[in-house]
Amino acid sequence: MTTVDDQRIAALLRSVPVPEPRVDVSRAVRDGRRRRRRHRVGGIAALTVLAGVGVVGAVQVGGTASAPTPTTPALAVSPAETGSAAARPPVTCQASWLSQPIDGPVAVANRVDPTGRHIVGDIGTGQEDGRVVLWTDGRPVVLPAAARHAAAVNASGHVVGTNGDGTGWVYRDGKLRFLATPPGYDAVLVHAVNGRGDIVGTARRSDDSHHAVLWSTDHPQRYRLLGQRGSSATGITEDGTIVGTMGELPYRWTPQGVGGALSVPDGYPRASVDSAHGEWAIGMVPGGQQGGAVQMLPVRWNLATGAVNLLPFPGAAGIAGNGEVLVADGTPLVVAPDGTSRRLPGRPEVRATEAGTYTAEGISDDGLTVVGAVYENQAYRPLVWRCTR
Amino acid sequence: MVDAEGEFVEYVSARLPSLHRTAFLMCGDAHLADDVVQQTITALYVNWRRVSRADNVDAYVHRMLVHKLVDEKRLSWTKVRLLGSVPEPERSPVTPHDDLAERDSLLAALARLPRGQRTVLVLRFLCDLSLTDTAAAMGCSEGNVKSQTARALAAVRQVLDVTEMSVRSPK
Repeated sequence: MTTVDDQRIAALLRSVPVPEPRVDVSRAVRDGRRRRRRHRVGGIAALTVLAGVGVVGAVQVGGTASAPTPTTPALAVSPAETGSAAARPPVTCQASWLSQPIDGPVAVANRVDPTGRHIVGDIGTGQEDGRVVLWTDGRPVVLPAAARHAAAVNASGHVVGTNGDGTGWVYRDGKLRFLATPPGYDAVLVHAVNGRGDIVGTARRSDDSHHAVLWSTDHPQRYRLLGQRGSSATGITEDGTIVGTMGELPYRWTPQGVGGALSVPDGYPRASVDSAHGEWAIGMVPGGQQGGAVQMLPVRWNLATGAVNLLPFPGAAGIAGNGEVLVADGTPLVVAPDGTSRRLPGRPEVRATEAGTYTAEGISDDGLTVVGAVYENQAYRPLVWRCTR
Repeated sequence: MVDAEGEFVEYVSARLPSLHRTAFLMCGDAHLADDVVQQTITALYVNWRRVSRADNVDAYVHRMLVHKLVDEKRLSWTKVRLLGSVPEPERSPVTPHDDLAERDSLLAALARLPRGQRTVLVLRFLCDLSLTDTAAAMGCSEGNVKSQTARALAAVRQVLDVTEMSVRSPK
């Protein structure tokens, strides 16, 4: 009998063929920024905060070279920063805090409805105890504790989301109801709701087979499976157009339920769709390898023409009904289909300057309301940007 | 800080292939390995400023990886799939006198090991972690690591020896 020495096992382990990693470093950065709110608080070596001591007044946000942050006290208003000379009406934007009905060092706004009236977010300690908060015209309501992780809110203020155990829910007119999980599936992931009360998401089984699902806010216990097994649904527009994927391809169902693939940008093998508003959808394609990691690149579809374009940003956080893309890179940036852009102003009292200080996650259909949060002094505070043309 | 972020991206990009190999060998599932590595590097980003100051960053990251793997097994429904599926490597039939045969046998042997034994083997021999670091990564005693290593080695030796014997006297 020969014996196998340790060296040989090590060599074998190093040479065993393994599949290519499908890991996205930029996504880790994006998700990590968002998740810092859950970890940072209360845990790690507290930084001594020298508020106002020897700090220069001007705040450079997000490490980006552009967009000087206005230092006007009380009113943080920035003139629209246009990327081209196109004749667009001037836009001014103002950042203001959202009120916090309950205490919690992790308070963030995640989504806004198409009209900009309703905003949903989370307030908690960051230890998986966050309560969903719905702000309507600035007035906060705390949802029942049984509702966790809001995914979307519609123009009527109906909120949908998915609890940690994979149960979908809808909150409507003060009542919380749970969505049916289709038989044969273990969990659902609810993504979007439109003004008609159509809710879309994906049902999943532990073996990872999955199927796109459509519910309605009127009858949460009824559902309809969309397309074939292997489909997923991630967005729905006001007219009932649903976007998602079928297998590895981006996909769309018309309001009449007719499915069809969306185009994939030339030279890319596949694409996923994140969300859709108006005639627009955004998603991602796998870009080049970077040290074994696949760099995911954002893309935008025009659902009316079917055209798809790569976006020249590290990521896209949201799409407005008018096609404007919310880019959460440093201080939030809103970019119109014609390429003009405006960077949203910070709050004058915010002194933190590191990347990830401002997060923006939701944008209204007219692109004029954006919601997010500020991370400073080991706490998150919810923020809304309102712009006027 | 932007610098810290650049440092993070650099570290992660350099270590990704080896992190993924580690995760794959620990769990034997390409999807799960992707998920676990994605989650690990996300958590790493969150704690980067602290972790990057650790004496042994690699050991720390392996500890995170092991914990994520355990979490993931518990919460399997939350798996977030990254764009489609990667076919698992084909198990080529065992051919005499072939390194590949040995590698396949090793994969098969790993697949049959209990998770603890598998983990010690990967951490100690692939990741080259010390006894102490392996114990820390797994959250168990050094004695436990030693005994699991001994059992895992015995199992793997058996499989590889069987391969060698069949190589020497093919049917």
